[in-house]
Amino acid sequence: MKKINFAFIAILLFSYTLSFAQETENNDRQPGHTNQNKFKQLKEELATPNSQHTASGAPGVNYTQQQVDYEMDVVLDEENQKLSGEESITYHNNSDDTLTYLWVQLEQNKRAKDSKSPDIEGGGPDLLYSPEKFATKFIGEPFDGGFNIVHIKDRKGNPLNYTINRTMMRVELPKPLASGKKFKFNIKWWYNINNHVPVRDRSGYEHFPKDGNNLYVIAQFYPRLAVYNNVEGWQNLQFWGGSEFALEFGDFKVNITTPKDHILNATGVLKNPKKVLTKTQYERFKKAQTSFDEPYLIITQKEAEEAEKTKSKEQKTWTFDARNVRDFAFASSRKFIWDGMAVNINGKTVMAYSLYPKEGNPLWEKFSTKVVAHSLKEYSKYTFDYPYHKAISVHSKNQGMEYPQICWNYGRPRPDGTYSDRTRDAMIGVITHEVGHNFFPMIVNSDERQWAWMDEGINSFIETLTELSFDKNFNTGNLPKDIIPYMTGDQSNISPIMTQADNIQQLGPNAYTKPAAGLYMLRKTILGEELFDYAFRTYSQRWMFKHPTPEDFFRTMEDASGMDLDWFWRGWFYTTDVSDIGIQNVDLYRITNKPTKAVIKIAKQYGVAEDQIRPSIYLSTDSITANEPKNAMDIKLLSNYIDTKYSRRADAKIPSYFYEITFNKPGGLVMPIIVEYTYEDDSKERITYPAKIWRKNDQEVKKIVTSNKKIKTIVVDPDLETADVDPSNNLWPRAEKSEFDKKKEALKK
Amino acid sequence: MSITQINFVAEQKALQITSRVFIDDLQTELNDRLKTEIELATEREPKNIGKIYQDYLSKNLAFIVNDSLVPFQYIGSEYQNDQVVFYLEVTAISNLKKIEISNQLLTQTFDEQNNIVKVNAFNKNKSFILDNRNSKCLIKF
Repeated sequence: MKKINFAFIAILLFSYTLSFAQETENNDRQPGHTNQNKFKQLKEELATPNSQHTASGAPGVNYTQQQVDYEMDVVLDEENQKLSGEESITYHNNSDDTLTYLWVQLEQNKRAKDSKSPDIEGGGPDLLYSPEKFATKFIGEPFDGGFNIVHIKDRKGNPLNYTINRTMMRVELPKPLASGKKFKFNIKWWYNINNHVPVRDRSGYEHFPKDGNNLYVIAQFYPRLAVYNNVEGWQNLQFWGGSEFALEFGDFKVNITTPKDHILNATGVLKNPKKVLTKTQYERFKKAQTSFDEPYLIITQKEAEEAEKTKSKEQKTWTFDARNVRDFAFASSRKFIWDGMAVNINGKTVMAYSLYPKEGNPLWEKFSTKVVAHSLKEYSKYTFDYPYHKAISVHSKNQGMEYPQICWNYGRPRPDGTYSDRTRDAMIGVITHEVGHNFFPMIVNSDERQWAWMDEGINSFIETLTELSFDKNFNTGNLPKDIIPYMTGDQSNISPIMTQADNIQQLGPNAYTKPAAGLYMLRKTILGEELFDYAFRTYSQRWMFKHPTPEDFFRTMEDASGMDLDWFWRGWFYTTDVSDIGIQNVDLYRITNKPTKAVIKIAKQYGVAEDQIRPSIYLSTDSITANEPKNAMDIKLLSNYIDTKYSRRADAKIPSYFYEITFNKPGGLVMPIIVEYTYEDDSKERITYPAKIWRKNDQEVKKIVTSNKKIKTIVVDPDLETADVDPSNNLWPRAEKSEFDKKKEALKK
Repeated sequence: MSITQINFVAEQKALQITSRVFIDDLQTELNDRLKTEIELATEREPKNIGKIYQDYLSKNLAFIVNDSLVPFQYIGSEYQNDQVVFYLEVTAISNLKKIEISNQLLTQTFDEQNNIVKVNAFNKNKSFILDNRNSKCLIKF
């Protein structure tokens, strides 16, 4: 220990922030540790930036992206429930690499007889089975819904070699494809269309036994090129059914042949409306494009009901042209009612459409198209102006599934046409969400096979803002308080958000709610709306029509907001830690000139007697002694100082109350401490201490709060902004009655 | 998914229990079991819904304290957004040594139903995930 002279101690003792802990000696040798600080930068977790994905989170000068164009002829054979097609694919190798093969996705093979997808589900027998469930599991031939590849040929008609590895197909290139070159080839295929209802598939038909008709929602129906990008090479992870898709942008020209009495809509511009629509339908189709206030019916319910009664043997062909889209999907049925409404997106007209059978009414005619329009407007505010010409919402049982410009949504009233608020709100929620997917991932085109949160979570977040602007009391289910039950669950059943999508436990809360709630918190509580919105818009615009990675998102949000958020990404996205901040202790200090016991003790250690300690001001919790000053101005040392510095004593605002508040943090996450102080006169004051307050002590921090009024209560996180899992320690003084006891009393009344 | 939280409150010698399930799931399950077409939390909800809930819970939730089956009191329920919350209580527990919980909520209709049970007693937290195949858990103190 160093020698310290008297004067130095006196200087030390003048400061009441003096730490006593350093005076204790500890002879036990403690083990060392690596840097476990919650604010440690994410250098080890994030990929090293380069000139493709830059350190600022933007696409770099050497960023490349492939392009794939398709020309397809597709036939929907309703009688045999068969879909067949022939596609001519132009693959543009924009990468710097020479390719020797191409990977093509065959998602329908998940439904092949020999599919391995069901084999990855473990578990013993169920407690009980319904007959349907039993039959599906143990009796009968499995449905054969896999792709049948008729041929794969180059443009001269020579067959190409290929190998099918379940849901992925490797096509051998006749000669290596150099950088900047393109390769054209042709695939002919067909498959049996599945009924999507019993197993909740994303694509297929629903059969309506009453009128004998089908409603088709058809997607991932053609062999699609896998992504070849700067971070994965070929993204050829198998399609197990859970994690979704990674796709390249390109142009589509598609002809779809259906029964003549079907109504169909799809991704892209309908090129031959005059040919496929009746004269009346075409006139209404044009009229809808000028109807900005209300949806305009192109096909009425009466007309749809009439169409249900017969089945045409003739066919017709619909032609679509889609530019710069990552995928193509369509819906077709003779049951469809069709309405449309024009939406003004910053001076550009975009069409909002809905297709629904009579079973969807009266709910759908009332809400669907309006929700589409509202979603396009709100999402455009937070990202970029919606660049496509339309967005369609299609009614489909149990579905909530998204494709470029078209999506499937649930929400069916009771057979008598009435519906509960819950059905209505669920439908508004799903339409907002699926239309929102046009932005994430259809345009900001993240890799869904790898990261579910990048499209589902980010989309659920903007969905939440959109729903709250539709109805400020809307139960979004995505707010920080909503994720608490999940976060307090058994750790063996929780994964960090940063987990490959197929391996995530509890996909819903993990990939939708938790990232959405986290971003909501980031916007509302941590960054504030202005900083957040600027950064989020920057991310959206930087990665529009490109393939962003998590690094690009994390880095852009920091780069554009000027805030270090590594601690937030680390905690919320890379761990399963919970947020729990509490008030451990509150001490009231008084101002005095009498040395505190603690000061006397330390002075003694240096051989300084009490009366030798230089006169000072102390904040003390020791029991009061007889000759102490009654108030602050009775302390000569202080009053003399004030008299020299202030012309009038009253100008010096000396607080009457000095509180030391100890906040503890049983939760592993760091969060800002949001505190509301309520004073004896019921006035309130709110203070937010930045998360960085935890940087040197992850367990507890102390704060001195001064006031002229007595504090009555202190509440941490009064508006439930931080997903604090244990509210019982958020209140001082502690609540006398538990939430349960309060509820019990209320329910007994 | 359902979440059942069981807190032992020593001063009251009571297990205070809250169970949360999704309204839509419960509606499907009840109609499946009772062969009815009732609706929950709408203007069409049956008047005797409290009785229906009580019956359903008594058949699908059980608490065995120190090796004997103890009946629980049904205090009531409330709707919170899309969930229904049940409040239950087991009283007069002296010398708590172990609790066995049997939870078959919603397992008839939902194959993939997960019932999460969280127990807090003597400042210890323990949580379990029960499902269609495994509907019981045991905690000893």
